[in-house]
Amino acid sequence: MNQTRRYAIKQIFAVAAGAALIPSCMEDKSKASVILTNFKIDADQEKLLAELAEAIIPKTTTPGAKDISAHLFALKMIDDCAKPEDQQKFVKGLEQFDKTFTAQFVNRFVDSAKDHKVTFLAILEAKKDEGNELAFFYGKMKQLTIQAYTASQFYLTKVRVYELVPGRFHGCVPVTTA
Amino acid sequence: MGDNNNRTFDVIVIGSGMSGGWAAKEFTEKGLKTLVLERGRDVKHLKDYPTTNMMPWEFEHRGQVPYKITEANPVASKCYVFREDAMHFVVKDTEHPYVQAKPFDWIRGYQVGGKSLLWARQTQRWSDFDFEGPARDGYTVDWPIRYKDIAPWYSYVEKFVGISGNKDGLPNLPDGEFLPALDMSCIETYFKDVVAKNYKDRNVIYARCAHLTEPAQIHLDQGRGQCQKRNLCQRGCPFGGYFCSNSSTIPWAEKTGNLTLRPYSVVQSIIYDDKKEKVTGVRVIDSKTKEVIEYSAKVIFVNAAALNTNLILLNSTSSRFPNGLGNDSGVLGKYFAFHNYRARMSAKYEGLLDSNTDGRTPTSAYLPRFRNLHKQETDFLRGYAVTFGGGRYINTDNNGFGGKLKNQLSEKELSPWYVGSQMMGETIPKETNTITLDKTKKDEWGIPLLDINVAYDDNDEKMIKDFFEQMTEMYTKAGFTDIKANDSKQAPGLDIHEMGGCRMGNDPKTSMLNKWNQMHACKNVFVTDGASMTSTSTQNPSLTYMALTARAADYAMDQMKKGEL
Repeated sequence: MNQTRRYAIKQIFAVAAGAALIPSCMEDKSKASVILTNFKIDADQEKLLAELAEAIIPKTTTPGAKDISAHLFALKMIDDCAKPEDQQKFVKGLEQFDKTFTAQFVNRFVDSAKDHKVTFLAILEAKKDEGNELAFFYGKMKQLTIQAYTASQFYLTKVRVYELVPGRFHGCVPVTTA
Repeated sequence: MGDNNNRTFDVIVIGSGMSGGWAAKEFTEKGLKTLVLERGRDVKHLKDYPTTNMMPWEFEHRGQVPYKITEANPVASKCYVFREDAMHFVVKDTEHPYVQAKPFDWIRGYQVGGKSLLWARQTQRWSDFDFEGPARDGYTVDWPIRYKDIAPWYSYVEKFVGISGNKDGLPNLPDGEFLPALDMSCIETYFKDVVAKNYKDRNVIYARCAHLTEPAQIHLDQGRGQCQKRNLCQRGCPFGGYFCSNSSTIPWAEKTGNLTLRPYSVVQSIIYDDKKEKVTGVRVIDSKTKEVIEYSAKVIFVNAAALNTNLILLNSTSSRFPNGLGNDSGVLGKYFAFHNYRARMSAKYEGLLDSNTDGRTPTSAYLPRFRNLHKQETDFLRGYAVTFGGGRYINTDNNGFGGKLKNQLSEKELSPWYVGSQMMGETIPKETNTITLDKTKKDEWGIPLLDINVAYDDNDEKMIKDFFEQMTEMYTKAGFTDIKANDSKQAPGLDIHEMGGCRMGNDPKTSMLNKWNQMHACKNVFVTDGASMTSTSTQNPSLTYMALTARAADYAMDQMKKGEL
């Protein structure tokens, strides 16, 4: 890792610690499109999650995270299946993600150029084992985006085909390199 | 379906699961008016399998159980079928509480079909190494039957159920009436050869299973078809490819016109008449209306599954039997046992890289018990059987993000072989492993809660240690690497092979049932589910319950004809 990147990482996590202190009520909030039972996010945060999921699995010649609403699946899973303390960590990490990014790159994540997003996510990847709320949020969001994608109808019918009714079992066949 | 207002029958069967379904089939086929009582709801074949044809992406949580449900069901959640696709077939913890004097995971299926909807479908016969075990090794009482007594009934049951298997010619795992076996996988065949080369008395075989690989006419007559290798059995099978009461014995019994099936019927007790010196019927609480209803019959078959059978018998008191029905010996609720499923091994194999499996298999390979088979040779009693299976998976690299990650997710590079084994250990029935009725706590029907006081012992710990040693040796000889031993430390019960409490035996002073599963002290009551087992063997018990049930029903009908019952 080069010196500049190391410095950037240091900066980001120093800012993250401070970002938590900024009162969130200072911003104008509109409601998210999804109804959650156990925690709340606003429309901006929902948009951020959609953009983040898309940055993790982008649309190429094939559908990306937005096309399959991966961020809504992620929210549903956090809301229904995560422990209460993990739900809180997720929301705090989401707030930190937003503020840390803006502190570093001036713009909000959703309005930023792709290269800024890439730089930021590369740093988060390098720091994914840190155990703090930001790392937790990023790790969880990435895991759920991948799950949304690899368990999607698109993926299971076009990429790795799931057979509901195989109708056969062959115990030993040569490996094909298809 | 019979007349809804009729309360008198030839036979009452308590329970509609694996063994109750068989009792229903046997009696109705021979023209006897039979009432089957089921405490849960009805589950009709095909109609009541709501998830059976769902695609993975159609599950709201992709199979995962929501946190609130997991938190509310610490016991049920431990069961491997308690997933989004099948949790509706598993009893929730609050539906029927019980007392755990020691930790015990009681996994239940309160519905028509019971746990036969959910079972692992493994059907290995028991042998005289099992039936003669207690007498030879001096633990618990002698079985009143031997292999020759049950062998024809194994055949009888197997033909109807449909068992896929090979004739392996092993004295410790007798052959049966088999439909063709499916392939063994390359890794299973390889391991079989390694074991055969290195050990003269150890055999890795294709595990026999209750799947219709090639249905015979008798299976088509049941409306069942060929197994399609979906491996989604726990959802209920739209093809009837595996055996369960719902697709087989219950509709078969219904077709005779002699069956009355009554769901939502919690049996409070069996009614003993002191004057007639026999049982006259059953007292039922309708779980929806709480109405108490009495049904009468000449013969009662108790097939409520091992623990609930004990509960019903303990709760059936009279001046003749103050300690539970037929309990002159005082052994009712004692000598409870189970299977030790705590230990697993896993490893990796870097060979056979040019081959793989195609499709899915509902079974695996099986290594029948080899320890202490012909004589006592270790510092623990009895032994264990072992499963063996393996597969290759697609290596997925989840590092990074963006287009690169997306490409990684579509790569199809295969992993090496990953293999695994599970120990299936026999446990020793002990007087101290008991099932009693709680003195104060009652359920919502006013029936005392079951107090389960069952634990592992030193014999189980020694067996686990031996399993790890022997499997490490066999895996090492096979060139497997990364060999890992895992002791789940799971509580008894999660094996879902609970047995005993109302054991068979020759002597009425030390056992509850005679060689026909008939109560020594009350001749018109038969117990033919897991509660009747004298010892546990290592083999999966369902096939033996079914065979014992058909055999006991045949005997009961013979006795009825002779006017003895």
